[in-house]
Amino acid sequence: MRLQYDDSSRGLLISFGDPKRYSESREVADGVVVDFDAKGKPLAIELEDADAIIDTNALLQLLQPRIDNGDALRSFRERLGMTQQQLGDALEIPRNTIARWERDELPIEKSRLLELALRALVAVVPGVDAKLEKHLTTTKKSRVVSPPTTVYHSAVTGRLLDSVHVGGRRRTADRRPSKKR
Amino acid sequence: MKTTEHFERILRQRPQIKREWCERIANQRSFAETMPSGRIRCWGWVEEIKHYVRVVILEDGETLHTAMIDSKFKGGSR
Repeated sequence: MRLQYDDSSRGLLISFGDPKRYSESREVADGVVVDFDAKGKPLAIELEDADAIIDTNALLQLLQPRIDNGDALRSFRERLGMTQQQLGDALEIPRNTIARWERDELPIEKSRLLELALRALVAVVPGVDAKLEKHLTTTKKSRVVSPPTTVYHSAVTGRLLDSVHVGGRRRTADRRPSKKR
Repeated sequence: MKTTEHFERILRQRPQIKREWCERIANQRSFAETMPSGRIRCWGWVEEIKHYVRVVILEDGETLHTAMIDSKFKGGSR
């Protein structure tokens, strides 16, 4: 599934079927269009003016999370519909760390890395937005990374853990058992 | 004609729709209605696929926003 939002024209496209099979569209409600193949199987949903129908701020927060405190992380996780355990498993981070971040017991240092990891997670779960993909391949330091695959995912979270203070000390990859990938 | 990013995505999602059809329909505006938002919907017959195609133009009256094959439209009455 792929979710694409154009914030200038407010058009939202949620695609989940092969475009080659597109046959026709039907407007099921004002400004809500569903694509079908020749057998009537739905392929995509389009909101011509998403602002008129859904809270696009919430949508943008999901696609472009700003995680700088525990509340922001909790809010993001809940939008994904995930438990702390599920998020921890997906990011290869202990559940307890997620919990302590959300309670602001641990500082989320270099939160940008966490944001990237969460974006990669969103990319893996509902699909990869072109903007998201572009963002993931170009950081402020022009560091080039792979597309958001599971391997990339681990690489991001690995760096994320490297930047996290645990109990006042910096936790580094050297202190953790190395994991062959 | 100018197009939105959304329009370009729509053309990739609905590859049977040709850009030139949309431009022709937007220019002719044989069947058109202005929505409360100011956006314009217009329909045009496309002989190649034997269906009407609906095009939505932004409030500026010139930027293509989306297009779809509209099998329910029957030339003035839906």
